[in-house]
Amino acid sequence: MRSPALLATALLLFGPALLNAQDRRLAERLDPITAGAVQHLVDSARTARLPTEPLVQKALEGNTLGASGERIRAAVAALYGQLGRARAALGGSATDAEVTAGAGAIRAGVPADTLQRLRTLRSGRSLVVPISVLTDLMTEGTPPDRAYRSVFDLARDGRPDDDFLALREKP
Amino acid sequence: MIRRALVTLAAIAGGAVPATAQFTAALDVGAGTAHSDDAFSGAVASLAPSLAFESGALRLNASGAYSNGPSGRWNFQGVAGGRLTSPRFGPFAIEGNGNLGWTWHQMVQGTTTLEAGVRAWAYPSTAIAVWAGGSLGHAYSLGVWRPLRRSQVGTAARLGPVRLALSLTSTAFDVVADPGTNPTVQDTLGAGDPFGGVRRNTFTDGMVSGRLRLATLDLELGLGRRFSRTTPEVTLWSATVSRSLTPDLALVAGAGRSATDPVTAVPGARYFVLGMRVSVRPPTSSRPAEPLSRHDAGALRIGPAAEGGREIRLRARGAQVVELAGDFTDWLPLKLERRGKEEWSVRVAVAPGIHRVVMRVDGGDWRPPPGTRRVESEFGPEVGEIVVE
Repeated sequence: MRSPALLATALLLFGPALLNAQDRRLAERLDPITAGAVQHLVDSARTARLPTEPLVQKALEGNTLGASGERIRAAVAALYGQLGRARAALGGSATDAEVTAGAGAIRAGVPADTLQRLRTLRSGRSLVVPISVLTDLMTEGTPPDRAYRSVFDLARDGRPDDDFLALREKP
Repeated sequence: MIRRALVTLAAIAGGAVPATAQFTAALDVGAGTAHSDDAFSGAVASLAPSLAFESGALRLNASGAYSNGPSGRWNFQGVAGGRLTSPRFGPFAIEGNGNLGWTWHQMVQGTTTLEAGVRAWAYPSTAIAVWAGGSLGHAYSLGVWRPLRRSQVGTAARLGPVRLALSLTSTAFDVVADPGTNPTVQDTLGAGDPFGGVRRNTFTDGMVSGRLRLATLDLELGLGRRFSRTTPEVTLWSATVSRSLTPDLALVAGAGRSATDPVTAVPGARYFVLGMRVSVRPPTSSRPAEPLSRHDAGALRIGPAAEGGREIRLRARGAQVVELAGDFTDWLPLKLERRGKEEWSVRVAVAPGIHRVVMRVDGGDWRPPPGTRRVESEFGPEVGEIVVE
């Protein structure tokens, strides 16, 4: 009888704080408005089963590189949207690393259905490297059709990650 | 020399096509032995070029095989074709295709064939495809065009790195043209039938094939049987293995038993060939620049995982303070320790994966460390990207 009562009291007192624990890194390094805004996005991401660490890292990157609070908030909000689209494209079974890579691809202009197709072609294996290479190819200006085909061909053939990495190192 | 020619050819062709298209070329050079069913037997040398162009739903290809046998007997077979595939209608798609083929034998042109067909595709799952189709055409030889019909069904499946395919191709080829429209052949037959009374050659080739592609090894196996009442039945097989030596160069070995092609009169043979394959893709300016070598003198280097973390080293000439920051430091500046006149290092935990990192010297601007891949940042300056294995 005593234990349930203690547990209920503890949950009542500390539950909300535990559920929405403030990330100390944000509170210590960002101005209060930016820290609060980023923390709100982190909490929303956690609820939506999106990876949260990339959001924190994006904010900290902006802080180290001297960006304004407004710019940091905009970058983190944009990343939040990209993570959501990547999760929708890659499915609930995608790992956080895959979703994070997918968000980078979407930011580089890769359509969500391209990520879906890559998931289908390489089901059961990690997509982190294929998606990252596809992002690099797009960022470097490779024509999209060619970039997609190169990565799809390797994925379809079950090639290892090294073969994908070799794509971006070819002259 | 050969590679340079192919690169030039690919570059010319590549420059003439849309930016989203892809042009590839390859040349197989080989030597071996062949024991033909009803021609020569002995050593052969072969050259087999192939070109392919692909843009969206359109694919064009051309390939040939030149072989030089004993006593200077040579043979060339070539084919150029194309196919256009429709967008998917649910799990279905339609393909239109056409081929032009020709053969030359020593001193004489053999047969020219023209075919056009359609093929229906169904994709019951992402790993399985089924198709059925047919084509109509004509073959020209000895001054006569003769009808040619093919029908085909097949299926292909992908099991991890293995691709399996099963196909049945039925061919009907009129040995003589319609006697009413071709008196020349009728006259020839009247003088003595060289075809043994056969007016139409029909045969069906059933093949099971598999392909296993690993990092540098590509193995293809095929086994089948020709069924026919008008041409010899024979068991067909083939085995080809290629080993990549460089991204553009591979060692290729092939052996097998091919069947006589009644359409082109190219005889069947048992063969073994060993050779090299040179593959070329056109150079493009849009490819990413070659990254700095990991062994560059000034490049950032990351050691293996160890107690206390991985050692990160870099060179910074004349620096008093060198700092590093990245996602593995929570973007907090991490001071490196001087290890020599220009060498700096630090130990830090870095998990395997892709990381973003910057460095600065003497409190200056943050910038990508030498030897890292430069990627853009939403916050202005570029950052470096490293892959830790």
